[in-house]
Amino acid sequence: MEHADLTAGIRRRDPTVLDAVLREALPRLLIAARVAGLAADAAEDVAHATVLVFLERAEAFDGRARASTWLFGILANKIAERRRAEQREEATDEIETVFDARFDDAGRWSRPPEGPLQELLREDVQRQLRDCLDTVPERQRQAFVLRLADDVPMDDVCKILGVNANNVGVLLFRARVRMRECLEAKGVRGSADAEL
Amino acid sequence: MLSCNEVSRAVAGDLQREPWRRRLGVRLHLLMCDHCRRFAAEMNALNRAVRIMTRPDADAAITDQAERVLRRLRPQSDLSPPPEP
Repeated sequence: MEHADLTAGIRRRDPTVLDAVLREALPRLLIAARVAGLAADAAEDVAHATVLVFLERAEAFDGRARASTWLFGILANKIAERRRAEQREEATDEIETVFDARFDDAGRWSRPPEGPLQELLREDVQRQLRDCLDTVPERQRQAFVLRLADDVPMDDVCKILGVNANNVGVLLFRARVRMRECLEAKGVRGSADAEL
Repeated sequence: MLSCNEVSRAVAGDLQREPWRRRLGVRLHLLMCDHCRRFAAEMNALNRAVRIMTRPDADAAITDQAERVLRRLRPQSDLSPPPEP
């Protein structure tokens, strides 16, 4: 559908357009809510509440942002409303020591990576991947999955987790290094293909 | 000159938020350093793998839930516009 038609359809609450938009967005909203730490039924309630706000304001939709981005913004607010006292990421974490132990005093690799992880895309590795993801503390895992796996915009990740962007960076670093160490310990290896 | 530790930290964290000078430093370092390049490749593979693992269609329960939310919404989704103020 053309972008302008889509915008117009949302604004006049065309049932066919809304149905298509929501069918596409809902699974991602539900997953984001689950990843943010909500139980299955709480996630469903939050997704429902999010869509209600979206429908309520539908005629104000100007099409400048994509509908899914708008929905994620509403979701982030809904989750933040549910989140009690703001928690800050601890200043220390043992994974920092584990990471630093791979470098010498000058910051050069003393135990360089040997290139695990290409095989991660193989199906039988999925269980190891899942096990390793389970070892990552909750908030680090949330930041990782929301930001890097689900492409949720940084502002929304900050709102969902209730921390600032610098903190999200620390969470991402710790989550990924922890996953890496865990997978390496399980002997998952493969080839390297750098692309940044 | 950035050390391998600093470069890897930046790569595993949120590279997009680093100042441009530092990003440039990271890129130059990666051109010259096999170990760090390998580390960066691992981080990319990790992102991709977790993305695949958490894809909506990987989980039938999510599809069911989405259907349930849609059913709950049915009455609202064809609401007529609110009255003019």
